[in-house]
Amino acid sequence: MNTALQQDHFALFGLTATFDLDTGDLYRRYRDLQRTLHPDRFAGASPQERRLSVQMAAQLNEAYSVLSQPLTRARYLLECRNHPPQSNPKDLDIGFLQEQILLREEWEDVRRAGDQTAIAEFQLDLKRRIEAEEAEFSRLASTVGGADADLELARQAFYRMQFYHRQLEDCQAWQPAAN
Amino acid sequence: MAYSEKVLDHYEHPRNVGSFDKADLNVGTGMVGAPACGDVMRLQIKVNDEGIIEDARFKTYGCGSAIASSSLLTEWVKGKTLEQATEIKNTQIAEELALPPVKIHCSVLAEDAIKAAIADYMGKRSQSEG
Repeated sequence: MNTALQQDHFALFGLTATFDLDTGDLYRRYRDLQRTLHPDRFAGASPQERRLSVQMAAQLNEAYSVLSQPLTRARYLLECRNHPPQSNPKDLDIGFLQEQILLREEWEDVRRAGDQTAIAEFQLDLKRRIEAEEAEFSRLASTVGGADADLELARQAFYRMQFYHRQLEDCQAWQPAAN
Repeated sequence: MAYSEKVLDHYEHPRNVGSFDKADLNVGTGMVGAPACGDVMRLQIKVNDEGIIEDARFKTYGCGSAIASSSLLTEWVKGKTLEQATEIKNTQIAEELALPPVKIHCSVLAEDAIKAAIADYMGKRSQSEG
């Protein structure tokens, strides 16, 4: 039990660090581990052991929340592999940024027109773009000890994922003004 | 979080929104973004033969602070030489707009955008001369 606090998120669940993972399996492992850390099991334990079990439960929750979502899982993998995402990266692709502006303008048009089918279609397109970037990320960053050039490209795919996610969130948060 | 009055003013009445023809030799275009916030900023300058920035345009998708930072910057660079425009620091923008610490990165984005626009303009010039 003492060693678990130093383990990385994947190792905590007995998994190899990789982008493609079965989230159903991850959930089952999470649930099983959670049971072993239930406070009832530590009723007769020493204060030190109780404190440690609480710390481990917190680490377990953190690890699960990071690994269960593709976006945070990708970020974590990049951090583990020494290519942490930057908040203001200077090397974003100009063409991609131009496309972002076009997509934002398109969304404004679609939203203004108020056609529900077009609104749903636009969001579906964003989800497809996210899936495509996830596939790209997986291809580039799944192997341990990947080449630096691949990790660099994986980081770019991650940035694109982030942009599309933010846009999708904006779309989903938008509510037509009541007349 | 409450925006300062200056941010609100720029957000509600953004200056110089729009675009120039990016193929124009006198135009420099800077495109930057912050993936985590989903902010995208395009800042363009039009430079005359004396090397003075005559006009500027921007288009920003992002929060109020990002829009205000780019709007303010387009006002500031007009009439400046390229050298003077390069010297504008994000801290000056942040101070003018009274940006809180969590929004400082929006002013960094604006500084990156003007630097990228100037670099784009210089690149085009040296290409057309060489």
